[in-house]
Amino acid sequence: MQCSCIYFVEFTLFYKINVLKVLIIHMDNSEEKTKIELCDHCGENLIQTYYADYDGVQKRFCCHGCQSVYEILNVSGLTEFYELKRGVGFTERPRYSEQKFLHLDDIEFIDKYLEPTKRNINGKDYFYFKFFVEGIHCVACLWILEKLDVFFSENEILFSKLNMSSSILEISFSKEMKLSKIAKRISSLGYFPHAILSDLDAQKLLKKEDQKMLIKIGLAFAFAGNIMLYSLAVYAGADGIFKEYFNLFSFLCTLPVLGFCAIPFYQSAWGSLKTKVLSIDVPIVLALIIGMGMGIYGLIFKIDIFYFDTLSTLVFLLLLSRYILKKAQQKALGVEDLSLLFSNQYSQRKIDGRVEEVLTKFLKVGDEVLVEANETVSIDGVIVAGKTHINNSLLTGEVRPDYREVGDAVYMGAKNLDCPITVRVTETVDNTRLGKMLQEIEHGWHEKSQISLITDKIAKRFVWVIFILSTFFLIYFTYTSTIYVAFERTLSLLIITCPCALALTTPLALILGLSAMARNGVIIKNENTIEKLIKSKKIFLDKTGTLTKGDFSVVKKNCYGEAQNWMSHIYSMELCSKHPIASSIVSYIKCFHPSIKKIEFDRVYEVAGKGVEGFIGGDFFEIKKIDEQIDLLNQLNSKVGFFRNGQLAVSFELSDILREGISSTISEFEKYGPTPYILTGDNQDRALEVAKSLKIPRERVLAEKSPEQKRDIILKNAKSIMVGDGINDAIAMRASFVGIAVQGSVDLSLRAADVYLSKSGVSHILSLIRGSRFIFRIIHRNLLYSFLYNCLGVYLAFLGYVSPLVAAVLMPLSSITILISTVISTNKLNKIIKI
Amino acid sequence: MEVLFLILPMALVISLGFVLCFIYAVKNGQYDDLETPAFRILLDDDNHTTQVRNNNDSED
Repeated sequence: MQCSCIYFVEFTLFYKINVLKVLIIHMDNSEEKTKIELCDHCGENLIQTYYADYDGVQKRFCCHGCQSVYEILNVSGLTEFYELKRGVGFTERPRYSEQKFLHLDDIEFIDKYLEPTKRNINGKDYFYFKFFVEGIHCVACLWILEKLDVFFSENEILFSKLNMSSSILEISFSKEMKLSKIAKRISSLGYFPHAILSDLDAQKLLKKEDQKMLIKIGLAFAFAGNIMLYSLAVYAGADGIFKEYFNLFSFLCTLPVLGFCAIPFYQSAWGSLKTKVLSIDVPIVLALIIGMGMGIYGLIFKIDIFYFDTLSTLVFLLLLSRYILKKAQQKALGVEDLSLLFSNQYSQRKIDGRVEEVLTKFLKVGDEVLVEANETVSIDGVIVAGKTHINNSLLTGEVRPDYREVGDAVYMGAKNLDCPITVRVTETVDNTRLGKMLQEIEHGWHEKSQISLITDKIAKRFVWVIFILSTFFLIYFTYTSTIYVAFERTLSLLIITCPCALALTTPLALILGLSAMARNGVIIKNENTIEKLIKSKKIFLDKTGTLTKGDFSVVKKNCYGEAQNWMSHIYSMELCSKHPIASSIVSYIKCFHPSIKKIEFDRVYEVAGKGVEGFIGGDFFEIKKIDEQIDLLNQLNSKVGFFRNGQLAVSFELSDILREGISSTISEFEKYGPTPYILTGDNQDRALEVAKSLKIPRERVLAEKSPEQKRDIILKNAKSIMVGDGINDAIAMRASFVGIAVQGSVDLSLRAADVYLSKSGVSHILSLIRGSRFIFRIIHRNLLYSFLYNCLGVYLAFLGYVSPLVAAVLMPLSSITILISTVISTNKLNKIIKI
Repeated sequence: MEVLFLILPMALVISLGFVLCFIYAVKNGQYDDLETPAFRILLDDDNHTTQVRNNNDSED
């Protein structure tokens, strides 16, 4: 009976295991099935598949970019990249860039920005250069970028070294090598290199400062540690000659700590006394001086008062906490520094019928520049050849294209829409309208950040309170007790009330908040911004590009006449045009017919300012606006028709549509503040229509405003947020309490704005404001804690329960507890920011 | 206990030596980038592994 029972159990077990096996196999299969749909380079789902054979193995790619990257790696035998990448789990398609980087080979550029290395190796001279590389994710990126030399012949590249935290690639290459080739190779690997055109000396200086601080901390630590050992001996009961000996050594070790390591405190205290603004460094320096004076006094007169251990520990801990803070700050502000380094704009200069790429900075008045269709004009100038439509939206905020021909002026920032033009430079980059705007913005930037923080104010008052209390201590105990007791208790008071928790955790909370936001695509330039965001009463939103997507999208399609599918005809015709409407129709068709193929026409050509025409067999097709009389892009909704032999076959209705998630954002603003306004350069009707769909009342719509008018409105409304895109909002953004840029390039936007949303979508503003409120709750809590702690400390010091040494240990302990609580609570921030 | 008079200065000299080492390391740039070297150590120095893997693939 028992036996059969066991058999039964075994059987069921066996059965279950088999079922499990089958299940696992099945799961494996299903996994493989899904794998088939993934790109072999980036791992994204395949919508359109490009197939290619490598060593007899078929590989699938989602785009040409991925395919070419794979090809390069495969040819060079670097496919280990994919082994390293596996498990990291990022998906990003490489930017497929056609850029040739030829401007990096310009003689003027080489002279100015390439640094020749001092050493001469293998009989060759080398250059040193730095790139900021976009798209660094993981160890695989590190691996491939440091193997750059494999792609070139031997000794061409001396080394390539990547700093992953700052995404900076240092590279040393031989003088015969062209920098453009290296840049092109990096970009063909799927990363995008930005040449760093900055002062090399300034960078070195910054590095040196960092190193100096680190050395100070190291020294302070070494000496404080030794002093601790000597003091321990004294506390343990060393007597007579030994005690004096130990104390002498403590004193000797304290000298470099106070004389060298503590220099930053003296400097800042002196600076604050000079400007008559009390900083928290003043009581610290006071404590150092009192402690040192008493120590020396005790040493000379052989009295039992020594505070060398206290002082050196204090200096070490303060230095350390400040270094950590500085590091965190540098990480948060790195984005800003980098954005200022990007000035990689280049232009095509025409010389003797040849075209060469040069850095736009190097263009001079009178040079002729070729501007291709779909490129942006990089200088102010006059057209000398060609006619075209340009889009001035960056400057004026209008999407409507303007027609320009020979003799007309064009300005920097305008986008050339359809035909190549040649422009003679009339103003160099810094003197262009846009350049001047940018300068104005940068100039005014400095004044703006001079708003004093709430914590600064509190710290100042706090320092006064400490001073008054310590004088009271000194006088009170001199009368009631001995002068030694008076000094000792005052010293304890100064040390224990040192407002480090205040000075340390507030910036820490702000910085942790900033980096949490940055991880979610919200880049904040300055930590003061968070405080200002909470205080804001009104929020002004630009319309084009901020509330709406800023370009035309197809909203409706109508078919007429015989039910034939003309989509591939329309698709192939519109592919020839670079007009914004054509490209939006192309993307619309591609969205609904992903497998659409281009068909061959006998003849297709674009008629500038009209549309596209083409022939197949005897049929004549054209795509143009339906009502000839109406200026197409001036309308709220534009209608475009596809005609076959003059007969309307398909019509498209296009409109500038609202961004996703915008209406819920606006309704939350209405509920919890700040009050939303629309401020736009566009015409009244369009602005009102958008306002209506967002349920913003009529009186809060301000339309047809020039950039300068926008600024004036912002200035009239104190404590207002300006949300905008492009340069036309830049002046207003700078004038505002808080400027938020939602689109456009990071570098331009961050010069004017305080906040840059790298992910499109205004809904991030909401998470920004929510996050700011949360950060401030943390800061307020910290302030409360440190206030309570200090009250207790003062009380205990008054009663004489804490000696200076205990105070010197308790002070950092309290700071650390508040620090930890800050770090833990900012971790919650991630949940709040994500929507 | 008189030996302390000798030991203490010696200990101080030794610790000074370590401080000098630290200063050298800082000036040498060893503290400039604390993140990347940690990853770099995971990577192999040569292409050996790649070749091995390629061979395995072709055998399959």
